[in-house]
Amino acid sequence: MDKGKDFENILNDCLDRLIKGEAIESCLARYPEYAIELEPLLKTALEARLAATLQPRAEFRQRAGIEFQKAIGEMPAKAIRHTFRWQLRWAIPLAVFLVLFSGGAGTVVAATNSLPGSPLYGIKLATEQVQLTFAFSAESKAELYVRFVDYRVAEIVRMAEEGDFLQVEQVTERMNSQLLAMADLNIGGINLSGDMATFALEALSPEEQTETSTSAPTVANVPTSLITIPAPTVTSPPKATENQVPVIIVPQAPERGSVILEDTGMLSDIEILKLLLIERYEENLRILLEQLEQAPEAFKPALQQAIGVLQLGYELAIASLG
Amino acid sequence: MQDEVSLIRRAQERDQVALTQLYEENFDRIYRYIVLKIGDRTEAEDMTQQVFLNALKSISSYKFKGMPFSSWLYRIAHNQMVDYFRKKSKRLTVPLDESLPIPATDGDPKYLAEKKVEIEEVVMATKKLTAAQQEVISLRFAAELSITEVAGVMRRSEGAVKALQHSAIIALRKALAAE
Repeated sequence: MDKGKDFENILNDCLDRLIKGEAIESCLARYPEYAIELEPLLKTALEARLAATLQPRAEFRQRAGIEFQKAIGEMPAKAIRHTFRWQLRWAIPLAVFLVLFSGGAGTVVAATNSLPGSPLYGIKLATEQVQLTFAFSAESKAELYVRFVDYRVAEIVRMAEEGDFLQVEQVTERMNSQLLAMADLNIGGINLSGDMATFALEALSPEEQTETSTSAPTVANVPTSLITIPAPTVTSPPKATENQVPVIIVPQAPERGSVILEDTGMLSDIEILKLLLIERYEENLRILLEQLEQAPEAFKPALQQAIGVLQLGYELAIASLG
Repeated sequence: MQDEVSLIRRAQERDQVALTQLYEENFDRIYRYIVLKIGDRTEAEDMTQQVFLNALKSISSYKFKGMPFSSWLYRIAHNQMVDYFRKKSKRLTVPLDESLPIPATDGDPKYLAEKKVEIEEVVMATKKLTAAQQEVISLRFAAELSITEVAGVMRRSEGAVKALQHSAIIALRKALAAE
């Protein structure tokens, strides 16, 4: 580092201390070799600090406060939600059409790969609703929820990478709803979600969120070593430009049939579904923990929240299978 | 930081309490930043009010990117001042009047009067600096932002802001000596 930059760093350190209330003499004692050069600058800075004592006039403060409250009152209520409802009006019929008549076509694929905030994301969510409507058995619905939670996890990862904190929280809420809905399917005859409908987001205290377990829930009599877990790859496409639709490739949740078992004859449909849930839970937990490790400190609480929701939601869903 | 994110989110959903809290937490600092930069109380008051009204209009489009919410407000204030100076053919020369207030931490009128003169000298001296030097002095000492936050508002590297801060203090020292 050259001498000029060195001095600028020292000056900045002293200014930080001065702003926090440290005396000039204390700063000079810290850097005696620069004291002669530092002293006049710090004295000037101290004079400039007087500006921090400036206060707005009381009458101005009062007038501005009234104007601000008036402006809040004149704001259109929940404009964002209105936009979303407007989008839903066309997104749902379009999704029905796409699901029924063009399964696998370009728009569906593009929508599936879209991210929150992109124009196709509304279609993606609507498509999910339509797919659930046309899944007639509880097991089929559960498989769809598993896949949708995979999408949510991939979205959380991508939104965290982009630093979009608010979207991470919104997607976590969406994931929470889908996990609860999955637990509520009552496939194993056990409904655990009724009294716990608000369990996840509200119940997670910051202390609980920091203690994230990495172990999957255990399922009696089903050796998890029987499962072949495909290694999913989450790819981060280049930063989207104004003309590009941001996309994300998520691992496809394996269909029940693709879970390789040594002796399928020994397992019921529910047990196979349970294996699928455990497998996806472990994989998604691994992905989120990996993201948590590399995330900046400011982003960790949101990711811990997502991990907590995933853990509780999956544990509830798995337990509901009996 | 997480608390602020939740607060912003509530504010984006038009929660009056959250909006008011964000307003109260930032009002004085934004005012100080503006008044030190333009050196005119009436204009600074109008502009401060406008910053918050503009923020209200566009809060739904705000995206958290790791910086405090105040950085976004300073950015709005900065853009407004750029427009303000562009519209003015020359810098304002209206001096700060005697109503420039300081906190009444001491009841001694003589002490308060002396402080007021000192503040006025700082404000007048700051007006002699370049726009970038004024910006760094206002953000660093009136608004009390960290170097990282100043760099975010000014869209410059931290190294560049440190160098600018150094030159700004030297320039301010000269301007104060000439007062």
